[in-house]
Amino acid sequence: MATPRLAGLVRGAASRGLLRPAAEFVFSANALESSLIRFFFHSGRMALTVLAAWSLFAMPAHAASPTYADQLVARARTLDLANSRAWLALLHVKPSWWGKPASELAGADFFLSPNGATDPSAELEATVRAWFLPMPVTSAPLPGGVTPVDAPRDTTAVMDARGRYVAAAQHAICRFPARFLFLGQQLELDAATLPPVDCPAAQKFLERVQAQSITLVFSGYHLSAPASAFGHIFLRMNRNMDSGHGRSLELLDHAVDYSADADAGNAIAYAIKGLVGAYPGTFHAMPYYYKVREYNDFESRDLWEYDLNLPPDRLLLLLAHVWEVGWAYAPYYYLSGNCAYHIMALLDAVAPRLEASSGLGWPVLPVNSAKRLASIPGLLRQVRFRPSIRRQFEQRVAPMSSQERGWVSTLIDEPTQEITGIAPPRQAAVLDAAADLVDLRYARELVTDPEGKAGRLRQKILERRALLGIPSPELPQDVPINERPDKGHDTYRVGAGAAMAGQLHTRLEPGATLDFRLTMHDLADPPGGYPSLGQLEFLALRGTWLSHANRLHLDRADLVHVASLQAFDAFAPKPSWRFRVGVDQRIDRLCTDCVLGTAQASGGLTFANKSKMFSTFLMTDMLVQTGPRVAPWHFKVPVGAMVGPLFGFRWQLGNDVVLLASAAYRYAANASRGWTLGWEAKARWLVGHGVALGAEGTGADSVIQATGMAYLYF
Amino acid sequence: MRKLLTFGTLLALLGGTNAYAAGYGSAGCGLGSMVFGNKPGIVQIFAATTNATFASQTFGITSGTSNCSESAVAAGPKVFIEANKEALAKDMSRGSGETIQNLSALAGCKDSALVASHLQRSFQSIAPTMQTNAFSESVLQALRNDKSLSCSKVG
Repeated sequence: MATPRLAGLVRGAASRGLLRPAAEFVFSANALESSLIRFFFHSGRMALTVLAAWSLFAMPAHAASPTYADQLVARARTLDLANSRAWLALLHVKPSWWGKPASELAGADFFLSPNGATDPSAELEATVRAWFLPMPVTSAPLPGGVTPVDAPRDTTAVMDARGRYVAAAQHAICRFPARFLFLGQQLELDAATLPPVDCPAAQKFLERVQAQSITLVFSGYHLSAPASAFGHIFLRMNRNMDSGHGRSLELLDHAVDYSADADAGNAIAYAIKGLVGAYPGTFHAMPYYYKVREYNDFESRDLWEYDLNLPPDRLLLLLAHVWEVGWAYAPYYYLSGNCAYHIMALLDAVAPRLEASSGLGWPVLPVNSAKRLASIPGLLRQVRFRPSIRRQFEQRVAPMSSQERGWVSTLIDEPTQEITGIAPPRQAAVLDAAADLVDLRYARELVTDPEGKAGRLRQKILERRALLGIPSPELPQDVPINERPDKGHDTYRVGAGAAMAGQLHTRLEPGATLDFRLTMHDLADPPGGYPSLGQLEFLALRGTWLSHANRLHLDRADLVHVASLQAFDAFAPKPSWRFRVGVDQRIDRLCTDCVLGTAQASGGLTFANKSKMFSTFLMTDMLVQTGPRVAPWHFKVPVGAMVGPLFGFRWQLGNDVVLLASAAYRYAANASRGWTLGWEAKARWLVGHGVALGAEGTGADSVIQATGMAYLYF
Repeated sequence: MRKLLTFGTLLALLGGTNAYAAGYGSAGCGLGSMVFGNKPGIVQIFAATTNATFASQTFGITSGTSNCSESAVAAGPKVFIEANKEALAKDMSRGSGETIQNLSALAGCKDSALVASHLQRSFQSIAPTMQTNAFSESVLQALRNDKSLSCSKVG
């Protein structure tokens, strides 16, 4: 069968004005074929087209030509392709910190040359030569009961006629289609010289994904779970199937993410292993509905969707590359080589000029990858939002009368209670809110014990709702623009200022204060882009040099300081809490200039107005402190403990000004007993992009410090 | 300008006639695969959250099938119903919603609004199967029963 040529299949689409700056290499077209191309691309279904194109082709069987392979290798050398940015990016080769470039992806199966991970040129040569090898025919049945998941990594598992899974070796072209596309195009490969090759598995994969465009998805900060406090980033491959409604049929799209294959060890082992790269991280593809159910419904986290403009040639290369990395892994580093980094590296692999994985800083925060992409001109098409179940519930309840709210509360306790006094459409609204509330309040029980009390409650409410026979209108889109994550302040912070400090009734001395915080947000920082009542700080240092005494006072050295204020909601009350570990230099009447290792935990309730602009919180605050100057207590352990009530408020004026104040009256229960008062107050004003001014005061008993600060976020 | 090998030709090489695959169903995929297990109907403990597949946090997915060998579309309506069971039941009771739109397309139905109201009406008969393996089947049966929905992919 003759080979119809579809020259420039992809370039045709690329030339339609889609993103150009990313183009590192260009695909050619000739006039003869352009009408065909137009036909395909006007249909708007590229992946389908590609698949259709595949089936048109039968490769002429030519004998392998070693001389031709030699020529290609020589040509690659002349072009210095092995050191081209595009080739290095496809191999995920980065300069390592000891100088020698090495691939960040591991797995023997990710390289055809034994030295492929560190020698891009050897890998290139091995790749080119492997194209001319005949199609491998080996396929071995997997051991009994083994699923495709367990197939050897350099093979693909297929089901044979008897329903057994067999591991079938893949031809290099099938195994590394993106490398093939890139090199073949650069080397002006004459395809007629290749042996007959067939890639059923790779083909199946593209058929499954059928991406027309891609979206970067950010799942919001999840302060209650340390592993996901910073959020998560993954890609969605959009089929863009029309639903006839607002959104396309996105649930049926594919998500591609990079995550650690963690064992179920305890949290501490998990944290340590995650920090040092002891878990392998791999790429996964799964239907998007799993992600929506997981994040929106089960964890009640918002999803922010950043639709990207990736030209069709890049998109196709990305799909091919995603297939390639399916066999690779990289040690998972929670703070650097994490989801955000490796997803950005995928984009770089197919469009190196994006430099998506550069400049992400350290630690690599998922939100910074969204910021990075949003900052590239022309890349971001639009930003969309999927509300968490909590937000959906709040949206349903917001317009309700107090009577209707009363019914929501009643139904969740007595689901069979007859609803009186409101018309059926409002009854429907009440039942809809009640159903969301059940999901919100009993998220865990519904999963672990679906037939238990919560499950039965849910079922009753749904049955009643269905009996009304009225369709619920779709919830209107209500995007919290202020919380759009990429619009938040940058995550490093430095500050400098002037201070006055000393005993309240004697003289105060002037001083100078320096402040540094590695990441990322506190309750007084400019609130835009962050959850307004959440705080997440790692490695925050502040010191004041006091001029008269000529000494440095350590204001704080916090390793971690996390706070989650949950506006009290009678429907689904959640406690507010805060947790801090660090080193303090305490000055109060019980202990003067004590340098103390401190762990602090608080728990209580927060009450906020509807907009959450004003909130007050009341908590029980507890500190455990240790240090050389702490008098030994029981068992001669030098540990001191303080406990007492803490009260505070936060007032946000627009998106630029925040006032925050709190006071705690604590009882110290170690050798030097007694009550001590501590307080702090902050006013912070965002004056321009990344610059804020602050007035701050702290006090402990009669010792006070007042500081005027300027902060820079970068 | 250099004459370059065409992208389309290269792509074509990945495909070709499908002699090799004859007799093989689709299964397996290189992409790390999913961890939903393959026992139908049970609540899967699915690593939830984050950057990490954090197995100590549980996320239940009642998944009718298994791994990534199936795409959302190829896997068909049954898997979709199982995986989205909770959200779908809620949308059924409401007679509208995203899961119904997606299911309706997956099941090849003509009009998702009609499907939604039909499923709402059928909810009483479907509800008792909520916590059983029969749930997806009873939803599909409801779609089959009403010929006016003309759902073409419900088996």
